[in-house]
Amino acid sequence: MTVALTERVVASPQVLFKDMGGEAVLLDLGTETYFGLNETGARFWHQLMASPSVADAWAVLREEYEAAPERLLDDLYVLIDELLERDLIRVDRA
Amino acid sequence: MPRLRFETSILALLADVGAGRARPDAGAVFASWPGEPGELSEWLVRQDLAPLAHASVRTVAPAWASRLAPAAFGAAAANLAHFKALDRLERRFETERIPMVLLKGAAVAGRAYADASYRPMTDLDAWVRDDDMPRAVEALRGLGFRQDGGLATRPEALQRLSGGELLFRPERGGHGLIELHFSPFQGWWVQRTSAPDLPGMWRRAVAIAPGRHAMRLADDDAMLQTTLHIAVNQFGQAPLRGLMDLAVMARACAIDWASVAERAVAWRMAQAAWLVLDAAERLIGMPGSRTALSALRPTLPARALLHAFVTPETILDGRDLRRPALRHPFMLALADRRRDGARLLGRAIWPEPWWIAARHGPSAGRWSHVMDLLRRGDV
Repeated sequence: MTVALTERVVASPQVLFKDMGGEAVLLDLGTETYFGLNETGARFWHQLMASPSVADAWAVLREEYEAAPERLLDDLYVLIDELLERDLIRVDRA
Repeated sequence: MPRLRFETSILALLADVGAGRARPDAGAVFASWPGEPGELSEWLVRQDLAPLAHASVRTVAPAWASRLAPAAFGAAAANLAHFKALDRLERRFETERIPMVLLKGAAVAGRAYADASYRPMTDLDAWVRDDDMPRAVEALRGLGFRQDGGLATRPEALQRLSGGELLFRPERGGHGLIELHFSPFQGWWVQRTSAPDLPGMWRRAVAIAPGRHAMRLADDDAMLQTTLHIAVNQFGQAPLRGLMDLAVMARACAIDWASVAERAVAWRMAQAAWLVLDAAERLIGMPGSRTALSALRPTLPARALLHAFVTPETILDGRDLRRPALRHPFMLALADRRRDGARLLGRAIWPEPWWIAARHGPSAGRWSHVMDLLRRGDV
């Protein structure tokens, strides 16, 4: 895992977000590439952006989803890693 | 193209969705479609109606939603980029004290649609006054845009005289076309046959939102501008997207239809306005427009002539009027006064010296213009 549970992630500055009725679209202005998030991915994104840490996001999502907590964390990190790889998010080192 | 009555009920639904007036489950009507979902989906995508359709069905018809999602998400992403570009443009123009009036997609998406992403955009269009145009051009260059040379048949001098536009693209490449317009009405049809009150339109323009520098046309003027744009472009360029703009505006804005009709007549655009508004009424529904349509309705012979070119059925079928053999007679038929149509035709073949100089250069003569017409087979 490339981001610690105690760390916070933020959207990269060139990324724009648009809610699509539960799903979402992310636009990378730098590469002019867009990505779609399904409802679960959009909800994960919302919580990651709203939470002071990955751990806090995970805590909120555990209340919303019936999946086993470890499975939920695995899914959350799959999304985080993919967003990092595409430079759509960054670790907030402030 | 699907040929059922179904189409008008779908289009009316989309207009209600666009204006934020539809019931959440209204999109279930798509499940009644008797044909192949792919056929209708592709047609909606071609007409730039996929985002509206996607919004209509995403909670009630998942199979339809998945077909429409790529186009809907793509349009949403493109709109994000366009509105980001608008932010930059607006801030620079505000700093430079250059007033601007948004036109077309960016204006109607923000004003009338419940969600701007419902309305696909391909560029940003802004009307700038003549005196401000040189500074506007410099401002765009300062933002990293380069002016596109445009078509050889439409040099800048001619654009200025015809109420045309200057095109700008990002220096670094990629998407992001911005058009600076000399007028909200483009082209020689308007210049030769009509008399729009441009100062009045500018005076009536309002800020797109409180505190914003960018303006938009007043709703009634925007209705006429959109209507004329569809007509003078011969119902090309995804006509149903334009008609949908009108239908959404009719639902979402408090249109003073009496003013729309009065101005269309006074500006000598009544036949063109009637043709487009009548098509929108018959295909999608235009609440409140009946009195205006009655006031604008041409004589029976004129209606018959116009319908020889355009009907709601031909619009659904995608009939292309842009071929010279159809385009020129159609543009003549649109003119409110015969003498204006005659002038349009006459000047297309035998233009004024200043027109020839703007089009072909200061040393060109009339006969070089005629030879150019013959060579291109077009005017």
